[in-house]
Amino acid sequence: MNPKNLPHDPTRRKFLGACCASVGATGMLSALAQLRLTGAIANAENGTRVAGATAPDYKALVCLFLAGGNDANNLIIPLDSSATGYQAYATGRGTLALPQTGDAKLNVKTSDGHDYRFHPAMTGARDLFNSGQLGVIANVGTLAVPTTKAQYNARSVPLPFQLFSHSDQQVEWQSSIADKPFVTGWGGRIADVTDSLNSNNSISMSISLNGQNSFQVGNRVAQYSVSTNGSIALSSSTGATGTNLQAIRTQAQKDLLVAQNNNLFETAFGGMTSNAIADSDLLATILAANATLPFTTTFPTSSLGQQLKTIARLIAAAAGTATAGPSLSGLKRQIFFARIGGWDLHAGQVNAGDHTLGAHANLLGDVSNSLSAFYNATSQLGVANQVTTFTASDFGRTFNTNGDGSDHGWGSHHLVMGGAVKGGDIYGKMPTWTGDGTGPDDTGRGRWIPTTSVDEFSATMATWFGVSATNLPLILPNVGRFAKPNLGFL
Amino acid sequence: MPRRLALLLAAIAVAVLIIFLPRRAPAPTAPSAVPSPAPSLPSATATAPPAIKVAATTATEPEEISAAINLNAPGGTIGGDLEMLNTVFTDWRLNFPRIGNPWGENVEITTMLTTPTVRGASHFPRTHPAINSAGELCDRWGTPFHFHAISGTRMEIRSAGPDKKFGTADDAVLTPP
Repeated sequence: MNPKNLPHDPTRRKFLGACCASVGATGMLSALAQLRLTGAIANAENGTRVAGATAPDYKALVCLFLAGGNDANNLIIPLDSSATGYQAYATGRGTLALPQTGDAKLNVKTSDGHDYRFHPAMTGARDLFNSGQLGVIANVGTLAVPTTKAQYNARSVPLPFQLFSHSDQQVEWQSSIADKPFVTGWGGRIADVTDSLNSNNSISMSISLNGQNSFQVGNRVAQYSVSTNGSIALSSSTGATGTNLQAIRTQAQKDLLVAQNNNLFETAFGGMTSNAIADSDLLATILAANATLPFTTTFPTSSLGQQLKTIARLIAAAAGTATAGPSLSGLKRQIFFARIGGWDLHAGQVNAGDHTLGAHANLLGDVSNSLSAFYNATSQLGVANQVTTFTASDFGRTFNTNGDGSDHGWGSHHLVMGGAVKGGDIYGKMPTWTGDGTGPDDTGRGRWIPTTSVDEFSATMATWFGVSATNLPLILPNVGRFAKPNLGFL
Repeated sequence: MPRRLALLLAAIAVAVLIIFLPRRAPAPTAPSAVPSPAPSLPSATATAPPAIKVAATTATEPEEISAAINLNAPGGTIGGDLEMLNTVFTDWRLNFPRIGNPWGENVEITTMLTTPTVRGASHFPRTHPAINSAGELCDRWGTPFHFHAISGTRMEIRSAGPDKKFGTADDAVLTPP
């Protein structure tokens, strides 16, 4: 028998052929994945898109990012005097501990054996919790795969890239892909898939009130940044009407931008700039026509309060509750991004004389008051059930102090608010401080290994927003690694 | 023909070895050895023991001359110390460009810096007197440095200064550009 005819005898030709086939298959699989995403984008979540079709309802998702790493160990604290309750908390937190007496406890629907309360500065959030419009997601954070303490110590499973680093963890929270370089944010990917539900695309469904962010970076839907005063316009276009010199200059600029150009990049740049100017003009017109606010709620004068107030105005324009003039009706899905910084407090977290006061109390008070006002505004607009707001942050912080306040941590507790939220409850598992580092989630000094992943947290909201179970892995490619693609808080 | 195929495969194998072996770098994982205690510097924190437990140094482990070998040397300054540590982090990133800075608490970062690479040298001597009994890298007054990870490539280094208290006027901070 000719040796070349043996079934398992490799030849150079076969070897090279197999190599080429492998390379080709890799490319083909990648192309198929892209085609699947493209197909999902081309088809609305409820079926193939039909011209003029609109989604049956309006929904908005609002991301409130607490930049710098919120110390959520003081956002919600145990009140009961059991050994693992307040005493463990006070011993562990030391100079950061809040007093046991003070604000009323939370009426938690599903008890884990402890009583809890929010930081005393968070009375607005407390009231929303107790009335069922606000919930807490315990110990949520970036994960590449479910991770135990033993696995973390042995480094036997993939860990999120650059744990405890501000910028990296911000990006990973906003991408929900902790083990790969950043490409898109999970808000942007949701927008890519759900934008076809919108019959009015005159303004992007992804609007940021605080500049560019990773959360809203998508493949197709671009984020649109506005200020708390509304659209950000080119200075020359302000008041440019009629035949005055400024108007002529503005018109000339617009004509130049839409002019055909042999260079594709210049044409694309001109088109995008022209669209941005048109969006700005339209938004300015809408907000000017609705100068009389469609709600009477008074928002805090802080940056966050004003960001959420502008979001409420934009929701009113899209949900058809604006008072007059042009609107954004037909825009059935919107994703907003607001941000408040200053949370990397370290030694400056609490006042030495009164731990209920200080920089952290001010920030939490601002968040609580702004959230409360925002919820009230959406209630007045009649869209409270259609707007869900959630907090996110770089990471949690260590439970005890290293002499320089609380340090960068990992898992943290977050808030989710809205009429559709099954509030008044704590979802997930609160971590246990044992004081000797033996707690199952404690990697040392109360740096909690998350027991709920950002993927599970975001998947729950993506599902509520209208993303189908089929398309969920396109939005959150790692969600299948975790036990609960729906945490049940919506 | 089989002989030519075998030669081809052998050549490929040699090429793979040449390409990949020298680049193989250890992940910044828990090492198998612990920094040897420096009795002159007590631990400045009363916290739980470090999560990563490691064993004692062996006399046979080679150690490279670190950019921070003169850390805390008499006659030096805290500014110079911080610059030295910054150079150590820069060296680390040059060796592990895809990983970025070592990360974690002081004790974890110190453990990573003192773990020998595959070439047998570490970025910081594990027997250096600036490492206290808890395995933390300390400033010239005996307080563990605070390593503040701004990003994967920017590590702010803080010293509590002579009063050994963070957040006071005598703190020294190096923030990379």
